[in-house]
Amino acid sequence: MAAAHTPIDTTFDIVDDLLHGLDVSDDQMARINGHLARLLADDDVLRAVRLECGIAQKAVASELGVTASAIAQLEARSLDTVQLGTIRRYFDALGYELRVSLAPSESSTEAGDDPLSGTAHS
Amino acid sequence: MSAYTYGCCLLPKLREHQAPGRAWPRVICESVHVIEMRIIRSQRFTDSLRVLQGRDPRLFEVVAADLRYLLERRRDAQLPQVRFGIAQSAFADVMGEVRSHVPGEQAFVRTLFAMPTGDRVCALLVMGDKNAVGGAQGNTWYDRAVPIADEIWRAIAAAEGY
Repeated sequence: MAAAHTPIDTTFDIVDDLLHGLDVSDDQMARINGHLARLLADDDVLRAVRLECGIAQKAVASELGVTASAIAQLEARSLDTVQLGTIRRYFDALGYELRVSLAPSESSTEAGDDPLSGTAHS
Repeated sequence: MSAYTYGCCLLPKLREHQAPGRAWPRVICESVHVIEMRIIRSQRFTDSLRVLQGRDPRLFEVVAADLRYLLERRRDAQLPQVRFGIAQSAFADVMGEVRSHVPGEQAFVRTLFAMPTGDRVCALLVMGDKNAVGGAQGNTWYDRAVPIADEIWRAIAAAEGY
Protein backbone atom coordinates (compact mmCIF):
# COMPACT_ATOMS: atom_id res chain seq x y z
CA MET A 1 0.00 0.00 0.00
CA ALA A 2 1.44 3.33 -1.04
CA ALA A 3 2.08 5.99 1.58
CA ALA A 4 -0.34 8.89 1.62
CA HIS A 5 0.98 11.88 -0.30
CA THR A 6 1.36 14.95 1.89
CA PRO A 7 0.91 18.06 -0.21
CA ILE A 8 3.83 20.51 -0.09
CA ASP A 9 3.06 24.01 1.10
CA THR A 10 3.92 26.17 -1.92
CA THR A 11 2.62 29.46 -0.54
CA PHE A 12 5.01 32.42 -0.55
CA ASP A 13 5.25 36.12 0.07
CA ILE A 14 7.19 38.95 -1.57
CA VAL A 15 9.10 41.16 0.87
CA ASP A 16 11.29 44.25 0.79
CA ASP A 17 13.65 42.85 3.38
CA LEU A 18 14.87 39.34 4.05
CA LEU A 19 13.99 39.56 7.75
CA HIS A 20 10.64 41.27 7.31
CA GLY A 21 8.19 40.19 10.01
CA LEU A 22 10.86 38.67 12.28
CA ASP A 23 11.52 40.19 15.68
CA VAL A 24 15.19 41.14 15.36
CA SER A 25 16.72 43.34 18.07
CA ASP A 26 19.07 46.21 17.30
CA ASP A 27 21.95 44.28 18.88
CA GLN A 28 21.20 41.22 16.78
CA MET A 29 20.94 43.32 13.63
CA ALA A 30 24.30 44.92 14.43
CA ARG A 31 25.89 41.47 14.72
CA ILE A 32 24.30 40.38 11.43
CA ASN A 33 25.64 43.49 9.72
CA GLY A 34 29.05 42.78 11.25
CA HIS A 35 29.06 39.26 9.80
CA LEU A 36 28.00 40.63 6.42
CA ALA A 37 30.69 43.32 6.45
CA ARG A 38 33.35 40.67 7.05
CA LEU A 39 31.98 38.53 4.23
CA LEU A 40 32.02 41.43 1.80
CA ALA A 41 35.52 42.47 2.90
CA ASP A 42 36.77 38.93 2.43
CA ASP A 43 35.21 38.82 -0.99
CA ASP A 44 38.43 40.16 -2.49
CA VAL A 45 39.23 43.70 -3.41
CA LEU A 46 39.51 43.07 -7.15
CA ARG A 47 35.93 41.89 -7.45
CA ALA A 48 34.67 44.64 -5.15
CA VAL A 49 36.20 47.40 -7.29
CA ARG A 50 34.94 45.82 -10.51
CA LEU A 51 31.43 45.54 -9.10
CA GLU A 52 31.58 49.16 -7.99
CA CYS A 53 32.49 50.06 -11.56
CA GLY A 54 29.63 47.99 -12.95
CA ILE A 55 31.95 46.17 -15.38
CA ALA A 56 31.44 42.51 -16.30
CA GLN A 57 34.21 39.92 -15.99
CA LYS A 58 33.92 39.33 -19.74
CA ALA A 59 34.69 43.00 -20.47
CA VAL A 60 37.79 42.94 -18.26
CA ALA A 61 38.87 39.67 -19.89
CA SER A 62 38.48 41.17 -23.34
CA GLU A 63 40.55 44.21 -22.34
CA LEU A 64 43.34 42.01 -20.99
CA GLY A 65 43.17 39.41 -23.75
CA VAL A 66 42.34 36.52 -21.44
CA THR A 67 39.26 34.40 -20.78
CA ALA A 68 36.49 35.38 -18.38
CA SER A 69 37.32 32.19 -16.52
CA ALA A 70 40.86 33.46 -15.93
CA ILE A 71 39.45 36.68 -14.48
CA ALA A 72 37.16 34.70 -12.20
CA GLN A 73 40.13 32.65 -10.97
CA LEU A 74 42.19 35.78 -10.42
CA GLU A 75 39.43 37.44 -8.41
CA ALA A 76 39.03 34.34 -6.26
CA ARG A 77 42.70 34.32 -5.25
CA SER A 78 44.13 35.97 -2.19
CA LEU A 79 45.88 39.21 -3.12
CA ASP A 80 48.94 37.94 -1.27
CA THR A 81 49.42 35.35 -4.02
CA VAL A 82 48.98 37.65 -7.02
CA GLN A 83 51.86 39.56 -8.62
CA LEU A 84 51.64 43.31 -8.29
CA GLY A 85 51.97 43.69 -12.06
CA THR A 86 48.90 41.53 -12.57
CA ILE A 87 46.91 43.63 -10.13
CA ARG A 88 48.12 46.77 -11.89
CA ARG A 89 46.99 45.49 -15.30
CA TYR A 90 43.64 44.42 -13.88
CA PHE A 91 42.91 47.88 -12.50
CA ASP A 92 44.19 49.44 -15.71
CA ALA A 93 41.51 47.45 -17.56
CA LEU A 94 38.95 48.97 -15.20
CA GLY A 95 40.29 52.43 -16.03
CA TYR A 96 42.25 52.98 -12.85
CA GLU A 97 45.90 53.52 -12.08
CA LEU A 98 47.26 51.65 -9.08
CA ARG A 99 49.65 53.62 -6.89
CA VAL A 100 51.49 52.01 -4.02
CA SER A 101 52.48 54.14 -1.06
CA LEU A 102 55.00 53.30 1.64
CA ALA A 103 55.36 54.94 5.03
CA PRO A 104 57.18 54.07 8.24
CA SER A 105 54.86 52.40 10.70
CA GLU A 106 54.25 54.03 14.06
CA SER A 107 56.57 51.62 15.85
CA SER A 108 59.37 52.41 13.41
CA THR A 109 58.88 56.15 13.79
CA GLU A 110 58.96 55.86 17.54
CA ALA A 111 62.21 53.93 17.34
CA GLY A 112 63.74 56.74 15.28
CA ASP A 113 64.99 54.30 12.65
CA ASP A 114 64.15 54.96 9.02
CA PRO A 115 66.89 53.44 6.83
CA LEU A 116 64.87 53.69 3.60
CA SER A 117 64.72 57.47 3.91
CA GLY A 118 68.51 57.63 4.39
CA THR A 119 68.16 59.90 7.40
CA ALA A 120 68.25 58.39 10.84
CA HIS A 121 66.40 60.27 13.53
CA SER A 122 68.62 61.80 16.18
CA MET B 1 64.65 47.09 13.04
CA SER B 2 62.26 49.12 10.94
CA ALA B 3 58.67 48.36 10.20
CA TYR B 4 56.77 49.86 7.33
CA THR B 5 53.15 49.99 6.37
CA TYR B 6 52.08 50.17 2.78
CA GLY B 7 48.88 51.11 1.08
CA CYS B 8 47.46 51.35 -2.39
CA CYS B 9 45.21 53.89 -4.00
CA LEU B 10 43.38 53.85 -7.29
CA LEU B 11 43.18 56.87 -9.56
CA PRO B 12 41.01 57.13 -12.66
CA LYS B 13 43.18 57.11 -15.78
CA LEU B 14 42.96 59.60 -18.61
CA ARG B 15 41.75 57.58 -21.57
CA GLU B 16 42.63 58.29 -25.18
CA HIS B 17 39.05 59.11 -26.07
CA GLN B 18 38.82 61.81 -23.43
CA ALA B 19 39.28 65.46 -24.27
CA PRO B 20 42.91 66.66 -23.95
CA GLY B 21 43.62 69.13 -21.23
CA ARG B 22 40.74 67.99 -19.09
CA ALA B 23 41.74 68.50 -15.47
CA TRP B 24 40.27 65.29 -14.14
CA PRO B 25 39.19 62.30 -16.15
CA ARG B 26 35.71 60.98 -16.15
CA VAL B 27 35.17 58.44 -13.39
CA ILE B 28 33.83 55.37 -15.11
CA CYS B 29 31.79 54.23 -12.15
CA GLU B 30 29.69 57.34 -11.88
CA SER B 31 26.58 56.02 -13.58
CA VAL B 32 26.09 52.51 -12.24
CA HIS B 33 22.44 51.53 -12.30
CA VAL B 34 21.47 49.19 -9.50
CA ILE B 35 18.67 46.83 -10.45
CA GLU B 36 16.20 46.26 -7.66
CA MET B 37 15.89 42.67 -6.56
CA ARG B 38 12.59 41.08 -5.70
CA ILE B 39 12.85 38.88 -2.61
CA ILE B 40 10.41 35.99 -2.46
CA ARG B 41 10.16 33.86 0.68
CA SER B 42 8.34 30.55 0.67
CA GLN B 43 6.22 30.01 3.75
CA ARG B 44 8.31 26.91 4.43
CA PHE B 45 11.54 28.94 4.39
CA THR B 46 10.12 31.69 6.60
CA ASP B 47 8.90 29.14 9.14
CA SER B 48 12.34 27.50 9.23
CA LEU B 49 14.07 30.85 9.65
CA ARG B 50 11.77 31.76 12.54
CA VAL B 51 12.38 28.40 14.25
CA LEU B 52 16.15 28.80 13.83
CA GLN B 53 16.01 32.26 15.37
CA GLY B 54 14.30 30.84 18.44
CA ARG B 55 16.53 27.78 18.83
CA ASP B 56 19.98 29.08 17.95
CA PRO B 57 20.25 32.90 17.77
CA ARG B 58 23.98 32.80 16.99
CA LEU B 59 23.54 30.49 14.03
CA PHE B 60 20.52 32.54 12.92
CA GLU B 61 22.72 35.65 12.74
CA VAL B 62 25.28 33.84 10.58
CA VAL B 63 22.56 32.48 8.30
CA ALA B 64 20.98 35.92 7.96
CA ALA B 65 24.36 37.44 7.08
CA ASP B 66 25.07 34.69 4.52
CA LEU B 67 21.66 35.22 2.91
CA ARG B 68 22.24 38.96 2.78
CA TYR B 69 25.61 38.27 1.17
CA LEU B 70 23.78 36.38 -1.58
CA LEU B 71 21.31 39.24 -2.05
CA GLU B 72 24.19 41.72 -2.16
CA ARG B 73 26.48 39.84 -4.54
CA ARG B 74 23.78 37.96 -6.45
CA ARG B 75 25.32 35.87 -9.26
CA ASP B 76 28.77 37.06 -8.20
CA ALA B 77 28.41 35.47 -4.77
CA GLN B 78 31.09 32.85 -4.18
CA LEU B 79 31.93 29.74 -2.25
CA PRO B 80 32.09 28.89 0.58
CA GLN B 81 28.90 30.83 1.28
CA VAL B 82 27.09 30.35 -2.03
CA ARG B 83 27.05 27.64 -4.67
CA PHE B 84 25.13 27.87 -7.91
CA GLY B 85 23.93 24.93 -9.98
CA ILE B 86 22.20 22.25 -7.92
CA ALA B 87 22.58 19.21 -10.17
CA GLN B 88 19.70 17.27 -8.58
CA SER B 89 17.23 20.02 -9.39
CA ALA B 90 14.95 20.12 -12.41
CA PHE B 91 15.98 23.81 -12.53
CA ALA B 92 19.72 23.25 -12.11
CA ASP B 93 20.73 26.45 -13.90
CA VAL B 94 18.50 28.52 -11.64
CA MET B 95 18.82 26.73 -8.32
CA GLY B 96 21.60 27.37 -5.82
CA GLU B 97 22.33 27.01 -2.15
CA VAL B 98 23.57 29.22 0.66
CA ARG B 99 25.88 27.33 3.04
CA SER B 100 26.02 28.41 6.66
CA HIS B 101 28.04 26.99 9.52
CA VAL B 102 29.38 28.17 12.85
CA PRO B 103 32.79 26.60 13.61
CA GLY B 104 32.50 24.06 16.40
CA GLU B 105 28.76 23.58 16.02
CA GLN B 106 27.07 20.51 14.58
CA ALA B 107 24.64 22.20 12.21
CA PHE B 108 25.41 22.70 8.52
CA VAL B 109 22.53 24.85 7.36
CA ARG B 110 21.64 24.84 3.69
CA THR B 111 19.18 27.23 2.06
CA LEU B 112 18.01 26.34 -1.43
CA PHE B 113 17.11 29.34 -3.56
CA ALA B 114 16.17 30.12 -7.14
CA MET B 115 17.76 33.06 -8.93
CA PRO B 116 16.90 33.21 -12.62
CA THR B 117 19.34 34.90 -14.97
CA GLY B 118 18.98 38.64 -14.81
CA ASP B 119 19.35 38.94 -11.05
CA ARG B 120 15.94 40.54 -10.65
CA VAL B 121 14.46 37.96 -8.32
CA CYS B 122 15.67 35.65 -5.59
CA ALA B 123 13.27 33.06 -4.22
CA LEU B 124 14.28 31.53 -0.90
CA LEU B 125 12.69 28.10 -0.99
CA VAL B 126 13.83 25.52 1.58
CA MET B 127 16.13 25.70 4.60
CA GLY B 128 17.43 22.83 6.71
CA ASP B 129 20.32 21.29 8.61
CA LYS B 130 22.13 18.98 6.23
CA ASN B 131 23.92 17.27 9.11
CA ALA B 132 20.66 16.34 10.81
CA VAL B 133 19.54 14.28 7.81
CA GLY B 134 22.06 11.66 6.76
CA GLY B 135 25.19 13.41 8.02
CA ALA B 136 27.25 16.34 6.81
CA GLN B 137 28.95 14.42 3.98
CA GLY B 138 26.00 12.68 2.37
CA ASN B 139 23.37 13.76 -0.13
CA THR B 140 20.36 12.53 1.86
CA TRP B 141 19.24 16.03 2.75
CA TYR B 142 19.40 17.10 -0.90
CA ASP B 143 17.49 14.00 -2.00
CA ARG B 144 14.65 15.15 0.23
CA ALA B 145 14.90 18.93 0.00
CA VAL B 146 15.57 19.52 -3.70
CA PRO B 147 12.28 18.00 -4.97
CA ILE B 148 10.43 20.16 -2.44
CA ALA B 149 12.33 23.25 -3.58
CA ASP B 150 11.57 22.34 -7.19
CA GLU B 151 7.87 22.09 -6.48
CA ILE B 152 7.78 25.41 -4.61
CA TRP B 153 9.76 27.16 -7.35
CA ARG B 154 7.49 25.65 -10.00
CA ALA B 155 4.50 27.15 -8.18
CA ILE B 156 6.18 30.55 -7.78
CA ALA B 157 7.33 30.64 -11.40
CA ALA B 158 3.83 29.80 -12.60
CA ALA B 159 2.20 32.41 -10.37
CA GLU B 160 4.69 35.21 -11.06
CA GLY B 161 5.47 34.44 -14.69
CA TYR B 162 9.16 33.55 -14.42
